[in-house]
Amino acid sequence: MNDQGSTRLRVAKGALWFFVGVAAVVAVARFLAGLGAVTNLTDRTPWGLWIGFDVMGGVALAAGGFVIAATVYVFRGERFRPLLRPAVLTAFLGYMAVAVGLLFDIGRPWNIWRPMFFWQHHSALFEVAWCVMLYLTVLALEFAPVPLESSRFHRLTKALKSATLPLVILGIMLSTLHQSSLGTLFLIAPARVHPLWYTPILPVLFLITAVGLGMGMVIVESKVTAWLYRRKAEDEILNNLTKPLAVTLLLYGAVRLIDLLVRGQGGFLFDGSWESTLFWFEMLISAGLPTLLILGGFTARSGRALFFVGLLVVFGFVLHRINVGGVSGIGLTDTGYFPSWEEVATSLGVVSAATLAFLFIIERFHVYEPGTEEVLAEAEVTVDRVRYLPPMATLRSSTMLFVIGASLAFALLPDGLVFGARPEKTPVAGPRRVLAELVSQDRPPHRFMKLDLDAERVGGDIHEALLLDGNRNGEFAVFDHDAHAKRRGGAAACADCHHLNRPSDRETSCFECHRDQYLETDIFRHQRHVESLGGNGACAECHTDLNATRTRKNVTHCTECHRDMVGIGLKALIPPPGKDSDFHAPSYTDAMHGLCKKCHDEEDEKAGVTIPTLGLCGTCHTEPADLRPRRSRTVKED
Amino acid sequence: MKPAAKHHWAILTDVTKCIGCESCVEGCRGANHTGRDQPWTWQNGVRDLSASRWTTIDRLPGNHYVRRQCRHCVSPACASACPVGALKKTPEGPVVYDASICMGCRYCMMACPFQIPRYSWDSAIPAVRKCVLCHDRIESGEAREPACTSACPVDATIFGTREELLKVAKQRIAANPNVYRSHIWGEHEAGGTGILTISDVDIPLPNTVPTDPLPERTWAALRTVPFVFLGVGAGMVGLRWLLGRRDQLRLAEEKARAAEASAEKSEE
Repeated sequence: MNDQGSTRLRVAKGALWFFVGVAAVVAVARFLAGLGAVTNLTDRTPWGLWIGFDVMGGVALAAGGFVIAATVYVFRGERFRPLLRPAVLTAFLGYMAVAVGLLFDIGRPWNIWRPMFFWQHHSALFEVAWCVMLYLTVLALEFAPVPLESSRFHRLTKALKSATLPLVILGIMLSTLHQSSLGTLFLIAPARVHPLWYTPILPVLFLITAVGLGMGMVIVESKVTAWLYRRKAEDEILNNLTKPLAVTLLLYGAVRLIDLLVRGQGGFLFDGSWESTLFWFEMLISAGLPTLLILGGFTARSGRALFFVGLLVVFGFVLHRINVGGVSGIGLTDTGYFPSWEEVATSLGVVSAATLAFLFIIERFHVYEPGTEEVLAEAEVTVDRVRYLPPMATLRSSTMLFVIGASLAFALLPDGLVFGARPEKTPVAGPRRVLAELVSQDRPPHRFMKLDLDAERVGGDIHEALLLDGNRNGEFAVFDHDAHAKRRGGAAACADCHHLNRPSDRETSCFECHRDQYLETDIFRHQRHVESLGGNGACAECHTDLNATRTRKNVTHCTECHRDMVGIGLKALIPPPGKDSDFHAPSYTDAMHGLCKKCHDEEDEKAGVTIPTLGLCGTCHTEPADLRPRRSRTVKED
Repeated sequence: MKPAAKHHWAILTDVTKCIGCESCVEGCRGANHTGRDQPWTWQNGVRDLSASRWTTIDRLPGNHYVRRQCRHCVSPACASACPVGALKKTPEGPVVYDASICMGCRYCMMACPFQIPRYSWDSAIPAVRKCVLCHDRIESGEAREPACTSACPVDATIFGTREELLKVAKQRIAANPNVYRSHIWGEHEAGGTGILTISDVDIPLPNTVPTDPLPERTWAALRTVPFVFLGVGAGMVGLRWLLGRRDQLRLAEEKARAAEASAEKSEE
């Protein structure tokens, strides 16, 4: 093995391996712990970076394949033939990246084959799925002669080569459909795409951008590999692409603006919102600036300007797709989505893996024209092209970065990646020092703290306590700090809540231990009040007017009896009468059933009665209509 | 899209009657075994719809309670978007879900104009979660109406057929025109929905819920697919032949001209 090529190649490969390493670890966590543990996706934003960039962008970048194939075979542009193989390879690997990205993104990847057998022709995604599958196959067959031509399978290679033309035509047909179908995907979601982007002709726009992207991508890819391998880029051929590219860009700009005006959405163009700024930025870098550079003759003069134009077009059109795919809808859906580092790492990893595969293939097969190829061979190792090189033979220092990336990802793994998604932590608000009385009683809770606003100093049952708002909802709880410390093991237990070992953590949320804190609970227990007030005769204690319908409005308010439940200067736990109250009363059914049915059921069970006397609705509700308590409630009197 | 069946199951919710007790929520939780609510990062709050809460009550200012759930659209965007048919519109009306077919693309969540479907993001085997109008329980004879409507203590939400409930809604509005807004939410929204709501206050729906059925917008593009496919194929083949013929003619012309030239030369 020699010194494995130039430094820039080594650095580039090392970086790519690093990203693949990080992504590999994240991928394992994603499949073990679920989407919620790795992504920032929400119920409001179900599609994020993986769809917006990997799929929408990946398919876009792969457009070079069908554009160059059409140029060479349909438009008879023989001079573009040197660009064909790299473009088809990019397309193939681009689609592979899309497929792999999809496996990460979809929730049940083992069902990914279903669209083949469950036909839903009215779904745009069904069409996309079919086109991706078919086109991936077509691309594989189209590129297959390249690795095969140096092998023993001469007949197979010959057969495949003779099928190239039909394959190319089929490829163009499929690409047309499914580049545009990516736009169709969003026709059903007008609520998620800003009017500057949402239009019934989205499919047409996506097809035009695909053509532009195809040409832009061919330029970028040719220039990048030329730089990496210190070979001469095909500048003269590439410059021939700029004229059709400029036409495409102008067509795109015109169609978009005219469409906006026809739909009457022109007002959004200058309303000063961030969407309008985004729109103009996107139009400037995707269509405006590249057209100027091409028509101004800059690209013909300088290879750098050519590369810049390619980059602008690719970046601008991918931005268009990402904008349609989600960014433009941020204001409409009011989403708080921003990709997590795990999502970004996975996207980078998938793209890096595809790039590594690209480099691997161009170093071994006749992808570039003979002249440039020797440079490639020199840049890497001298490879005997006939002999198969086992993959492990290429493991060199750059691949070490895979291990480093993977280790780093392991080190960065948050709890969520290891144990699965966790409910949200809410940091505690407060604390505030107060005096409270420790109350002991026979029934549960046997010991609790009651705010004592009149107490002046600690002593007797009066303790110092903290007021905490455990979930920041404006309702404070009396927190017995000393008792918690004692229960957790005295002075050694500080770090349980005060995370001294984690600098960014200020304190532990109550919820970390009291997992039921956020569950909706009845803070008013009807049954307990019935018991403590003397059973069935006690209704009138609270429901003072027994003839009136019993609602929250005419019931005796909690604070009439529990005078200490009103805090001063705090949001009261139970609002005083007249104010809007938000506690949960039991439903009428529960209240009434609790009076009779509960005891009877218990007694029946003790006595071993198989059919509970009050277990049948008809025992009390004599009319069928009474099963749903409404107008007349005729309960049989005993 | 299939035309709506004659007897489309429906629910009528009357905001003026609802007391916000959430018995419907608990009834649903019990009947569908949705599990307990937890404050996940991906939902707006424990009270919001979630994989464990298929219906919820939005509290509007002034003690108005609006129940939210899947609206079982007459022509549902989610079912038309599903690439495998895991979500489908039953002839009876409810939009039901089959997790075993679902591939988890979440296109249904993107498509729903009411932003209803939820996802069990915490699971390694996730699923789309939403109200199915207790279709399975009613079809199997286990129940005669959805758990939510049977749990309602004040009949604020009732079950019936869409035509019948539309009539009821119109009667109620006509009887108390001063109380109700003269609008039945769900009569026309997104092409009509199985959940109807009448109210004394305006109900905030997600922005831009259109009045036209959304699946038709996709279909306008998708129905051209076979023609585009074949058209592009034919066009490409034709173009290739045309340009090949042009090159051929030009070549022949050049040859003829060269021959002419050489003939002239030899004549001289």
